[in-house]
Amino acid sequence: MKPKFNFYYFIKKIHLFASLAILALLIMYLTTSFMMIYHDYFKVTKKEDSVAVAVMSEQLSEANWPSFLDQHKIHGRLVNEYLDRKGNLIRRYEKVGHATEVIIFKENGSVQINRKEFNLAGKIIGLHRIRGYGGKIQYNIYAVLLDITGISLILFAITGVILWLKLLKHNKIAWMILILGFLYVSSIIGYLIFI
Amino acid sequence: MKKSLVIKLHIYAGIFTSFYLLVFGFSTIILNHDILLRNDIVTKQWDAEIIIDTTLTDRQFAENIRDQIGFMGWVPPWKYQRNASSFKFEIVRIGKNYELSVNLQNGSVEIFEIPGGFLDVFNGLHFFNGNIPNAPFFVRTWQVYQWLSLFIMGLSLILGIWLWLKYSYRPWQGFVFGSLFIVTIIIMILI
Repeated sequence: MKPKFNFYYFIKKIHLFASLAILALLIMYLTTSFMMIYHDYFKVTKKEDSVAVAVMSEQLSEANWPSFLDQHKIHGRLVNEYLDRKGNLIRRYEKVGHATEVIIFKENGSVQINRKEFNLAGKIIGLHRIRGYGGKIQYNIYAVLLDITGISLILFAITGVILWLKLLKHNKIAWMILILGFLYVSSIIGYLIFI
Repeated sequence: MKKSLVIKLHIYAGIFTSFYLLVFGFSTIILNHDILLRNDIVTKQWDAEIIIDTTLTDRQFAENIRDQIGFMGWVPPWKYQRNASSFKFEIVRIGKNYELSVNLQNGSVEIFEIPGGFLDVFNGLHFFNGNIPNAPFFVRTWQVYQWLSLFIMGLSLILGIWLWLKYSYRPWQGFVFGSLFIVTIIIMILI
């Protein structure tokens, strides 16, 4: 006999698996959110240094650029590349807790490397802020995990409400929390849109 | 603790945070894909009159005009443009931007309104902490709601995991999701 499909069981499993799949990220987001709220206790500081590097033009070729980055210990992925007003090429690299700006001067082809290294609080909070695809494989895996997190949070909320309706449909406290929460959030959204 | 009580608490906590979870989920996807939700279309334009105080710095002047007109928002200094006859600046906040052009001769102000719309506001709640200059008390209460939502979300998570471990844990789930937990931590260390 074909087993009967149990909708409640199915939704319960989605709810559970959606939360377990992103548990590490949820813990990180909750922790870093509180660190940002209490920023006076978790002060973000950074060490900055700047070095000028004399280079041969072939070192700056696309083919040799990765070895230039390795040689000068420039970590992370390229997040921005542009020409400044003077025509100098600026490349910015970011890794959690590190930010490096490489300036390739138009005039003489010399290079300046400006580094920032954040303290532990800055590194942990950096995890909250890093996002998007691009760069080495670990950044792309993280971006996939962020997409899974986004979808899971939405599923988590929707399945949670479905489970509640099944379990405690007539519970007045639960209804009160839902209605007051909805009224409050929609009032804030409405105010910010229309006022 | 009784199972029924834990389930109730988990449900109450979950319902309380459900709106915040939706905001977080939506904005996580939007941010991860760099989707632009705000446009630059001016939907309304009108004029106002202000009293010009020539003793103020540009920043104080912009804030003074904002206060005289009764807007809420920040006045970013990198948007100031001054010449002999006019002063232009922007007032920015979640949900709406205003471009203002002040005639320094007669005190008239041209105001251009650029609304963000529902999706922009919904997404912006991720970063919003209720603290906007000139915001009314009602809007400032968002920081309390935000704090409570985060705290209760943590509580709900702990209760949910406790329920899972105590009543529906299966070894394969521990293996799969435990491995995923460790892999996620490793990725966080590597990025």
